[in-house]
Amino acid sequence: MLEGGRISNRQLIFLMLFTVLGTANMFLPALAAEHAKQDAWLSPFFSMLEGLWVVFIITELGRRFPGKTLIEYLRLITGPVLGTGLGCLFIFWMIHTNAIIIREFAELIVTTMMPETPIIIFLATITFTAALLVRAGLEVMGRTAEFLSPIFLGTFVLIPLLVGEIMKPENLLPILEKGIKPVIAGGLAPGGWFGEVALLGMLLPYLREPHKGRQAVALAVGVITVNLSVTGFAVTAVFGPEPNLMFPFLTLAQNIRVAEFLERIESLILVVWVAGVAVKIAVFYYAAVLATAQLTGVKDYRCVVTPIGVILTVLAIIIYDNIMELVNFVARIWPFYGPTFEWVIPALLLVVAIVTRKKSPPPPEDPDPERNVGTH
Amino acid sequence: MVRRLVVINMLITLIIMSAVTGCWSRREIETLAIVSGVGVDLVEVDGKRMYRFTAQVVKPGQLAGGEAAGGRGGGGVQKPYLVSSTLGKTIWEAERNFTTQTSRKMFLSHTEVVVIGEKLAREGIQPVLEFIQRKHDFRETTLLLVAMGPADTTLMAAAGLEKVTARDISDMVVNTRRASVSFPLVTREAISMLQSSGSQAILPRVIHIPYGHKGVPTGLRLNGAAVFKKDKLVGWLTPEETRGWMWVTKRVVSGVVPIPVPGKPGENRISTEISRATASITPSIKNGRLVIKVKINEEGGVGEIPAPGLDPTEPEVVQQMEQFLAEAIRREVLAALRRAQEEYRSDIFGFGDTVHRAYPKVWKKMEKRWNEEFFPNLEVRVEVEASIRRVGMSGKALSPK
Amino acid sequence: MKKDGRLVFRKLVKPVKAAMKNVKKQNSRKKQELNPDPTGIRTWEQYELSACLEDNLQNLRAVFRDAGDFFIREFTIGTNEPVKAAVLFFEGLNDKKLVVDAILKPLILEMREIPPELWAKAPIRVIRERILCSTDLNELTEWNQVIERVLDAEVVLLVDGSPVALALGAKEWEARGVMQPENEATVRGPRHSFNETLRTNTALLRRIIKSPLLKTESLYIGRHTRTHVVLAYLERLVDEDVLAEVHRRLSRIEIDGVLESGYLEELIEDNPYSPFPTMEISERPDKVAAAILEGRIAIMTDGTPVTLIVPTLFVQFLEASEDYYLRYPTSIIVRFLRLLVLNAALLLPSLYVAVTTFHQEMIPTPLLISIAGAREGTPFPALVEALLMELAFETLREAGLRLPRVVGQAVSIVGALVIGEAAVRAGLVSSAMVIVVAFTGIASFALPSYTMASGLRLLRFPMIIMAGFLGLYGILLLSLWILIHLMSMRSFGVPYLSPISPSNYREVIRMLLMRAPWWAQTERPRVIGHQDSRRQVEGLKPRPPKR
Repeated sequence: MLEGGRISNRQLIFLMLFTVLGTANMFLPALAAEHAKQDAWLSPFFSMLEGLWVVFIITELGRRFPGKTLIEYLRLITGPVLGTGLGCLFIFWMIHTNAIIIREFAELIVTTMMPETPIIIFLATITFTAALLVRAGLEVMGRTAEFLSPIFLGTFVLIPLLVGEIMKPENLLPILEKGIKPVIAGGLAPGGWFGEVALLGMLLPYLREPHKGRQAVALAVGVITVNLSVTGFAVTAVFGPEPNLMFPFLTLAQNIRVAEFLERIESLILVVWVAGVAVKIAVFYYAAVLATAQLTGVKDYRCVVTPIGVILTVLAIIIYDNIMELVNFVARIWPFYGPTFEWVIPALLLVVAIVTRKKSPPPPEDPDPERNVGTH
Repeated sequence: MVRRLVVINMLITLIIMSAVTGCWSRREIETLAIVSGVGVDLVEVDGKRMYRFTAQVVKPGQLAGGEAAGGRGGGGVQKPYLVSSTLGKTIWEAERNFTTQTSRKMFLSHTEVVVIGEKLAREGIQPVLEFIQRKHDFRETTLLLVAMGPADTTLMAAAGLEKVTARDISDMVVNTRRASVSFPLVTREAISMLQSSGSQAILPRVIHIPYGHKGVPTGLRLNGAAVFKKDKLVGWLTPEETRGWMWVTKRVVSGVVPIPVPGKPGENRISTEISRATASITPSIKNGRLVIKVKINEEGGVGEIPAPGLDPTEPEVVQQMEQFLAEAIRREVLAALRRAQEEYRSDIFGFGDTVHRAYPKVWKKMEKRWNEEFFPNLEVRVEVEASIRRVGMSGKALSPK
Repeated sequence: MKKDGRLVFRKLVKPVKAAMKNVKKQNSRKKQELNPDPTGIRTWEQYELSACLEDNLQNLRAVFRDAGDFFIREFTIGTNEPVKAAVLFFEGLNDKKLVVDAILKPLILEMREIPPELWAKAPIRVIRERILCSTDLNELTEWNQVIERVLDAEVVLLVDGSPVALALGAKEWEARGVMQPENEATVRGPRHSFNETLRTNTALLRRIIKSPLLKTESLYIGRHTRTHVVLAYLERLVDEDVLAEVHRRLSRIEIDGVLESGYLEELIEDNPYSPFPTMEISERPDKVAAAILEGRIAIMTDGTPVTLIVPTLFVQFLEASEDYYLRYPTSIIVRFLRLLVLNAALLLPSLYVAVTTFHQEMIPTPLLISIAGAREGTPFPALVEALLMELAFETLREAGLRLPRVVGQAVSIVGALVIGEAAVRAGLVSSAMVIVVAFTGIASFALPSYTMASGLRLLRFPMIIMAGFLGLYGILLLSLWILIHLMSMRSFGVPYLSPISPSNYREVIRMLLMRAPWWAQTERPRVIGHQDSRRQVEGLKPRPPKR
């Protein structure tokens, strides 16, 4: 097997948390508020439905094909030719999405923190960091996510608390002024983000308890929803129904002022956020690397890491000319582009698998590799 | 081995890249002009409209007073700051033109106050707020003020207790809460006031009095407020009217309200100190007519009583004082209301917002014509409930015999 | 094929020459295959001692030729029929009085009381059982044993006519006594430390743990030094896999000599490129005993007081043995302090550089103004200034370390007061930087582990450089890289960051954030002492007597 490490359910929860929240926290509040105005905090609950739907489909596939990744059962279901073609499409999707994420990240850093630094530095360094994580293997990724999560989540809970003083809850009224439709529209864009938990399809076989994967990721989706909702709440309560900001969460952090000296801490928050993004990029990166390795049949996926890293960096540079294009893509095209791969194709696969009654036997048990002595 | 080489190569490339391409966003701390106050004016130069950007820059060497500063033992006392103005067709250009006059790069993150000149305010403050919001180093917690007259002279005024004028102003803004004739307003609030259709912007006012006459002290004065309609200044509120506005918007923290002496009409006034004040605004529609009910609750204590022998603990006296107090507050509120409704036609109280929240459908119809048609003719019922809780350290008022 | 002693003399000398030739050959070759036995001791294994004393002595003289400290004392055993005998030893390694009293005197003077028929039957047995008054006595029949014993400071007795030698343990040499630990001083707790003599050290350990389960396995490492290495552990508690791994790693070592446990550490560690130590070192018997009681293995090396403890977790470098002796509330606070100190030692100067050159908005205004005021007129950018000051500090530290204690103090006074103060006054560096660097230095000394502190000091420089180029982002990047590195590290198969990751929140609280009071420390660390996880009974919490 390509991946020797195993991750616990808790680590999976955190990995998925980072996968979605990594960028969602920074970019989503603005997108949701664009449609839903003061009801932006309700939108995530609608996106949650899409997230849960994706989890259902992927875990159902995982149940039919235990011990196999998306790429592996793709070929089992649709045959080698079509399967390889679809697999290539999936790899393209993973790399393309990842390039977008990397670019989003770099744009944000350049806009808010270091405007004079060439963007390539950030693209290259974050890809390099993610490459280190990928090379270290899934187990290290899971553990890194587990380690960073208290800091990451803590920060994103702390900010709304620290701005509590300047919140005006009446900004949230009236609820559902223009009916439910704008709220759902505001939930559509985040839906694509939630759907990123579809990468679970690549990780499920490496869970220590694969049968509990569904529960774990559903819990992750719940936590993400609450987190985004709280963020939306705080942003509306502080800035009003039309925040008109690129990165509302950061501006929120700018407004913190506690005891005359705890202020202007947004750089610190950015830094914490960067750690989260690194994990997010690594998860996408890992999925692409593993998929490529499985598709091409190489023995060690580590040899694919560097080429894909180079592709990612280059793609991230040439993919957009400016930040407006990026924002447009994320707001207009992503809600349709993402779900195609996140659940439309997997759902079709599931249907085909059910109709043709394809299944695979459970894999042999393997010993707990957490304590393997002699890793020379 | 090959893998390790790749990693090492990448690292080396990274280091070389960073070394070659140089400093990027790096700026040494001593090369910064730390701006503590900014003034923006609109001026006419040779018939052209230009923005004048005035910055008050601290001189850390003189402020820090450390050994390295070498300021000790020097002859003349220098001001620890520099005030410099630049012109430009846009605010940003004017700000950048600063480099033609000084040796250091403007650093705006520590700006404490932004003073807007009267002329610019009358033309519209949208460019200023836009400038602050879009520029990444400006803070949304920066205090906003409108100067009566040009902004630059305000910043050029000699600093009072603090070392730098801007710091003086920003501390004054906080300090005036004890009198509640002015209020702190950060950029964020101004922006959200500006963006809401149900409320109009109001900014605190700063006056610079260069020459004193007839007992008026000179220097900076922080009282009153500037009333805006959309983003244009339409007029001022007096200190009393400002407090009237503050009562309604729950901004009153403390202050002194003089009231007549119970049973002894005349010039003398008892002073009462505000210790707590709350307010609620409830819109209601009765018989198709929109009515706003403002209810103010105030608690206070008695200050000096210029009526020999008056016993402030007597229930009747207390009752009467409370009545006078409520009346005084009501008068302030009504004065502010009258100004806003009749003269400026600008809903600075945010009544529109409350209507929006309570009756979204009604609001949809009113929104467009709110300031012109509905707000000026709005029926506002003001109810004040004042109570006196404390009488201070003494009993009966001092009576000379 | 064992041969008679008389015939083998030439052959005995041959291996030595052959070995030397081999060495020469190997040096000329490009790809080196080390001769595993340059001394030729192993080749002597096939030869037995001769019954003729003269032959044996001749052979020995050939082997130990040109060794001025090798002594052969020939004498005659005082039986009725005089028998020739000889004792062999290296000068200075034995208790001479013991040799005289226990060997020479009885053999020369007290033999008459032995019945001659007994003597004639089995002279060596008589000597062993009736004459020599020694606790440590072994019979040797092979040449390699004789040579090894003599080299290992034992006294060997050869008797004419019998092909068996007797080896007596009478080791005694000039050695340091058991003194106070120099590097791990405590306020409360035992005050003795290991010294350079391995036997003393194992004895100190045995005095603490009086259990038959305490095993002390001996190994000899080093082709020339044949350094005695002892693995000490508690049977049934130690993880068999880890023990086997330690054995495996130690047995693959082929090296000329082991002079200090540092040799072994570098030869058996999991991550040879890491700046972080994966083995704890200690010279305190109590600390080593505590580790053994947790299920760890102590690797004790002859010739050094420093003992290696494996496997070791990252969090243990934040512990001092004193933590467990002082009352626990104090220890808890000290733990928190160490966590802060750990971060300060690694990050403080780089944070200062990042914040003052990239993120000035983060500094409170008054502080910003005073730093800017202090930096006005200083010639170097903050990055260069930080690097220079750190270098200066390292130089001072190094100078103070090597010098005699009295002079060392002078160095620190000169360094701290004169250079620091003068540099600030002259406007070469800003006072803020001096404060930061000084505090960082103190912080790195406040860590209980010197090796960990050195690793952090090493990382401080790249950290400062990253901060100088990319600000907080750079610091975060490098920290992430370090984190990923730490995450993938293992110490003898045990994840290095355990219990932080893979996480066990109960243990994080108990081992890292707090020092649980003794009545609550019911379990051993999960990843190490899992063979027998209970350490004590529940409910030891003391309470007032019931009435």
